[in-house]
Parts: sequence; C-alpha cells; structure tokens
Amino acid sequence: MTFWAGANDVSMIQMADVGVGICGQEGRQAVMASDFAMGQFCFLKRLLLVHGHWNYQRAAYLVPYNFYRNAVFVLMLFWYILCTAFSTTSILTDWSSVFYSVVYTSIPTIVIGILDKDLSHRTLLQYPKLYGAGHRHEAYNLQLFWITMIDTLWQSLVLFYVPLFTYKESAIDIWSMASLWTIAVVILVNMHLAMDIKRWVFITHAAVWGSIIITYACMVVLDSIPIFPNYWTIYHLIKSPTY
Amino acid sequence: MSSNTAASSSGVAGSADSSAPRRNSKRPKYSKFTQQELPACKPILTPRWVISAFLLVSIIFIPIGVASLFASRDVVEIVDQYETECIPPANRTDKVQYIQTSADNTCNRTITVSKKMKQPIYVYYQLDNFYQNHRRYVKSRSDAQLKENGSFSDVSSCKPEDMSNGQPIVPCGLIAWSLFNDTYSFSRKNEQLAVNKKGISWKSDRENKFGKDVFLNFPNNFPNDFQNGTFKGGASLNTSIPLSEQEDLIVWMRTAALPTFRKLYGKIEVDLEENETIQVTLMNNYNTYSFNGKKKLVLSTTSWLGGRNDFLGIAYLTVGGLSFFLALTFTVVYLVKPRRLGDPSYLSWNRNAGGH
Repeated sequence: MTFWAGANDVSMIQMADVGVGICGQEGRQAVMASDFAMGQFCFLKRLLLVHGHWNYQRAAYLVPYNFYRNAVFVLMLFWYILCTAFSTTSILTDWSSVFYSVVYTSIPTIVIGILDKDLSHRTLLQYPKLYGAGHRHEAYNLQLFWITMIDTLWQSLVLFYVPLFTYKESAIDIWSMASLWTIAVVILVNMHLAMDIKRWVFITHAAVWGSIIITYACMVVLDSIPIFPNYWTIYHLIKSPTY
Repeated sequence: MSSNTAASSSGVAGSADSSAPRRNSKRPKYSKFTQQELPACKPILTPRWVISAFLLVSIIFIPIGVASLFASRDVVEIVDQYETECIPPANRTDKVQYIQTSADNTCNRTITVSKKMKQPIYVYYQLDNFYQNHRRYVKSRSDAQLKENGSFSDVSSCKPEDMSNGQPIVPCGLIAWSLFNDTYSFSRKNEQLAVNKKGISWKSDRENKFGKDVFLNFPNNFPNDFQNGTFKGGASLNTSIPLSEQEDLIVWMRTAALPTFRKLYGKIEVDLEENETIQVTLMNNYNTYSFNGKKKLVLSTTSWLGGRNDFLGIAYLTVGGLSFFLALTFTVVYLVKPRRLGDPSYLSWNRNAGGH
C-alpha cells in the first residue's frame, strides 16, 4: 500500500495494490489516481485499522460463501441428473433458476457485506495488533477454502438425498419435488449465512428472513399461472405433512 | 465508506485542517445508518448456548421420529411384481415380440392380505426403470393445447408426436402417446370389488389445466400401422368424454420425478380383512420389456404421513440421537476442561510461538 500527497507520486500510487491519496494544498492529482482519498493524515489510522480490518473480514467470509451458495445449487442439479438417465433435466423450473441468484439469495449477501462487523471500532483502534490478521491470512487461506468446498459437497448431498429418500417409490411428480428442493436450498443457504453473522441489525433480519418469505411468495405466484407445467404444486404440497 | 465521504467533502472545502470546529461544514448529515451505529445484537456462542441448542434439537426431533416411524409401520402395503410372471413361459425368451403381437393378454394373479386394511385402499401401478423425468420427455407436451380448443395447433414442443396425417395431434407429445394401458379388476370370493376411478387426479388439474371442450385427435385410437412407422405407444382415449374427465391421462401427465414411481389407478372403498385372498384379473398390455422396466401392482393404505416410508422416521431419530450425543459430549468437555471466555492465550499471535 502506498500513500502520498504530491503530484509526482501518481505513478507510485498507481503501481501499488492499494493507493491512498490526500486532497489538500498540493492539489488533487494524487487523489484522482488513488483508490481511497482522505482529507487529513490522521484519518489514515482509522482507514487502515478499522475499515481495512472490516473489509478484510467481510471479503474473506463472502468469497467462500458465494462459492458455497452457487455450488450447493449447481451440485443439487447435478445429483438429480444421475437419476434422469443423464438427460440434463433441470429439477428447478426455469423461472426459479433465474430467480435463485438474483432474488432469493443475493440480498443477504449484500447486506452482510455492508453491515457486518466482527469487532467494534473502539476495540480495533485500541489493539492494532488485530490488523495483523490480514497479514497472517487468518480469515481466508487455502485450507479454509477446501474445508468450505468439502462442506458444500456434504450439504448438497444431504439436501438432495433426504427429500429423495422421503419420496422414493411414491406418487410424487417432478414439479412438486422441484418446489421442495428450491425452498430447501434457499432455506439452507440463508441459514448457513445466519449462523455466521456476527452482528445482527434489523436490516440483517429483514434481509435473511425476508429472502425466505420472498421465495415462498414467488413460488406461489409462479405456481398460479396455468400455462406452466408446475401449476398448483405449492398448494398441493403444503397440504401434506410430509412436506 | 462513510469516513471517505466526510473526508473528501471537507477536502473540497480546501482546508487541510477541518478538525477546527466549523459549524457550516459540508459534512453529511449524521444518521445512525450512515455512521453504522444502528443498534445491534451480537450473539456469542458460549458452551451453554451450544449445549442447550443441541438438547433442544434432540428433544424436538426424537418424538417426531418415533411418531413418524409408528405412522409408517401402520401402513399396510401389498406389492405384486407381475411383468415376468404374466408372460407365458414359452414366450419368455422374446418378451418384446410377445407383447407387441399377442391379442389376449389376460393374466390372473392372487394376492393375500397380510393385515387388515381399512378403506380407502389405494391401488397404484408402479413402474421401475421408466425415466419419465428425461428432459425430452418432460418437454414433449403442450399445456396450451390441453387447456382450450382454440390452441389445438400449438404443437411445436411436441415433436415427434405433433402431427398425424396433416392434422395436429390432440393431446400431442410423448407423454400422452405413452399412456399406461394395463387394467386391473379385483374380486374377492367371486364377488367383484369396485374400484373407484373418479377423483384420482388433482382437482386443480381437472378444473383449470385440462379443458372441457377440447376436441381429440389421438393416434393411439387408430390401429397399429407398422408400414408407415406409426404404432400405438399406449392406451387409446375414450373420445366421448371430455378431456377434463380423462383422469388416467391427467394422472399420467403429471410426470414423475424419479425412475421408480407409482401412479394412482383407483381406490377400493371396502375394508379388506386379514388373510383374505384377492383375485386380480389384469390385462398386461403395456410394453415395458424393450427397456427392462418392471411393473408392479401396489395396494396400500395411508396414514397422516402418506404411504409406507420408514426413512423420515429413521432420519429424525438419527439426527435427534446425534444431537443428544453431541450435547452430552460437549457437557463432558466443558466440565472436564473449561475454557475461559475471552482467554487471550488463544489469540492467533499468542498461539503460534515465534509466529509473525
């Protein structure tokens, strides 16, 4: 990271991974080339120790989480293909597949990325050594990545096979199973996030539980359009206790 | 994010020394949201919380598991696999040829009731190794056509079963073409048992998905024509009743999710006593021999949980038992080797002696 104020240091700022510039009496050229801009040198301490630490923790958590979120979804589709003579039947309805990434599970991710804090700013300013967590690769390293991937595999297997064994040899149809798997994957992914959130604000609650409710609402809407093959599945399913 | 906005706007003011109080500064209005000072709750996982959570899970899951297992054991199910038995031994070397050419496929089977079955008893036919969930099969239908007469020419997704002799097929598609056509009739002590075939499909399908005045043009209604390559895939449809009352077709068109599936054939509305023998006269018409599929006749009662399936009960019991075991383990570890909350010797730089 590099930090300077004069116009002759623009190239140095551009070469660095993170460039911070001061806008002040020597003009704003450094500011225009940098990633972060500040008004005073004393703000640097807060930028690094507080915001730098928070950004590191959030990014380090969310990168594996996004892999997990998408991998669970895709792996579930993959396990289903093993049951369909490898004919790539998608177990999710077309609209649900589109909505999954955008509507059902993206809002909690965004909210966590903005609002989650593992330690308060007072603690971080008081114990600068905590900033070393980034240097020591504590929150995101190769080992954690592989553990996340194995966990994803395990969760997708459970997610797929539990409803499968429950409804084996029964009269269930394909779109009811699709509906069940859709809601199961959304709840799973959101609960996983909920267990890892360190700081719950009402917006966080709204985002996590709201996503689950929105998923149900979308499914009710989609299942009410007669032209779709999955007409009426959610109403039929909800009546049965097995669901 | 917020300190940058504050900093750059005070930078715009031109002074590098904005810490001096200037009441008319361009600082954005203070709000709890932008300063990220909203009231929050920070749950911390202490041993007490963990142990209580696991105990709660086991207390809820174990009774549910027991109840589910009992409900499943209450269900009486009779399964009779008949596709090999119903072909005369002489023709068993070439079953496909037999099923395609033989005229009379009547088969008589006997089933014994193992436990008393209360009505309504559901009669299902079960097919194994039949991939109703194959992508091209699932797509091969036209819901618009089924709903109303006006859209009868909407057959684009139904290839190859879309047109016959220049006319669009109604109902089109492979799903309708392969309609199951074995029939079953039951008798007990030479007295016929009535099978109620009304109400076996979803009410919403009958009312909204399958129209009342759809005119049928179904190739299975015409005899096999091996010369032209058209032959019957399955049952023919009774053209005198409207599509919304063709319940066998409606049940069949709800494509199954897995390669082993059951579909409702009808309901028997009398009780069956223990050790009774039921004579089944079945017409073995459907050709599952080309792909080694199996056919089974299933008679089953139901409980609040549905048909017979031990899996949910066992799963709940397993998870409940595991939670209980974990709760016990954590209690033991906590009592034997407690760890103080906020113990600084666990900080990462204190743990790795000599680490940077």
